[in-house]
Amino acid sequence: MKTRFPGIVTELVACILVIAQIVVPGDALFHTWQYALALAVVAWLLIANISRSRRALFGISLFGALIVIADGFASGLLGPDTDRLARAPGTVAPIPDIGAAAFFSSATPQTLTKGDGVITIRRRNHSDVLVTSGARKFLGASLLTAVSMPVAYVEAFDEAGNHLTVTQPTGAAFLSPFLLFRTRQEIAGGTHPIDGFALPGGNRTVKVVYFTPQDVVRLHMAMPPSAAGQPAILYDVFDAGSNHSLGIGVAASGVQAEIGGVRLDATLGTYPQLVIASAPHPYVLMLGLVLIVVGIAGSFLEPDDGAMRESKRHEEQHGDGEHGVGA
Amino acid sequence: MRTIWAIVGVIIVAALAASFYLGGGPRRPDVVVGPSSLAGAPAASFDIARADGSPDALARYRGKIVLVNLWATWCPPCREEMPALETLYRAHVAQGFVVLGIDQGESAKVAADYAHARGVTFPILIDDQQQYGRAYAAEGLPTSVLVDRTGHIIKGVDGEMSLDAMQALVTPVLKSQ
Repeated sequence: MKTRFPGIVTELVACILVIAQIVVPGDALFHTWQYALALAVVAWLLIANISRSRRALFGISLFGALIVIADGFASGLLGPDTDRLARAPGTVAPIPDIGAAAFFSSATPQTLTKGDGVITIRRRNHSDVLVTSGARKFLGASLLTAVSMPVAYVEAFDEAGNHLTVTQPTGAAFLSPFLLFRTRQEIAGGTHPIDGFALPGGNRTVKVVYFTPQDVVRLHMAMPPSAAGQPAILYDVFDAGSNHSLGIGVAASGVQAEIGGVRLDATLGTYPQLVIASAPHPYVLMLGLVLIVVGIAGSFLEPDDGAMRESKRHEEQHGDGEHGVGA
Repeated sequence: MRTIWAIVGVIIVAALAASFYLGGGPRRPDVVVGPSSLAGAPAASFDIARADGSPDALARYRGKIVLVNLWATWCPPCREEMPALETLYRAHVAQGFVVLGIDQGESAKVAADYAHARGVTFPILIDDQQQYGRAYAAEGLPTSVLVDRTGHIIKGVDGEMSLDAMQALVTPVLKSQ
């Protein structure tokens, strides 16, 4: 056991370093040279242990750990950086790196408040993979996760009550009333999700800021009692021609606000964003882990080759001596 | 033994160095998806209402060649395109061709008044949630999508089309199907 202890510890470190890529998917650390260097050092130690190993089966265990390290190295430094796909409900985004397309489920104001959006990954000649918020799905050497992000469904009306087209010239989808808040801005001592949209039919552009229920309380925002515990949205309405601000207002989710000659109504909720992170290939990782476990277990049942060799050599030397004396 | 260690060391260092040049870095940039990328895909259909309030959807036109035209009254190129769409519709309606004008995000009355004033006879649908606009990856207005009799997209076009361009798009399809 004494001789195997350093090897087992090194194997454990190797497993922790590599499985961390699955536990904390998409962390930038895994694409740094420091992480790769740590893997290389562990690989070196494993090789050193293999050369010293007195048991063949424990050597297999160390070899399994080397496979785990190679898997982690391939996905860590050699794998592409983490990518985040924020798309409007009902749209499709190609993912060329994995030869697939992500279909973002349709949503209504009601489903947004429930936050039950689904992303379907489709690949030619493969069955669909559904990614829901919080779930993790392997696709080859990629780990797909869905992270719930704030989203708003906005409706706009002119003063006569006519429905207005919402466009997002710089957004993820041009003809989408869903705001995805892909950027953040520091406001009043905190960073908040921000977005914007245009109302070409009403000659207005609108900048919006999303406030969580905690922000609403912290910033002492005046809200009706019925909106307690609800997120809120701040509108800054501009004239599209002159770019002059026509008014600023705050409203709770589902409450209409009349600002700058337009009536705005936003339903706030959550919708998944797809995170694609490089990850150790699961089959390769499993192979490595199985070899580690089988190798360690087997080494306890196996006689110590090194000790046997030592004993045999000792016996041979002892025997030679007797022959020598006899001769 | 020392030789083996040297070889192992060189392999590890080489792998580290190669990783800086061969792998890593950002993923390939997103492929831009516009209406032109939709050819061959099944055409998405959503249940919405006509300008007169009656229910309608693209799926109801299965068996016909359909030119879906996404538009809005505030969009100048959409307004300019409207007479050509009407001419095209009248020329081929007997051959199982239909133009579906799907207004994006406006009130039914606004769209209906506009279409009525210009003598539009093809169906006008009201998509107040702009579902067709998102599904057809519209990058602006107008956006037109030609759908075959089986409900698959033949071609998506971003921007205004002349009558000649519309004829060139639709006529071969009507002859072949």
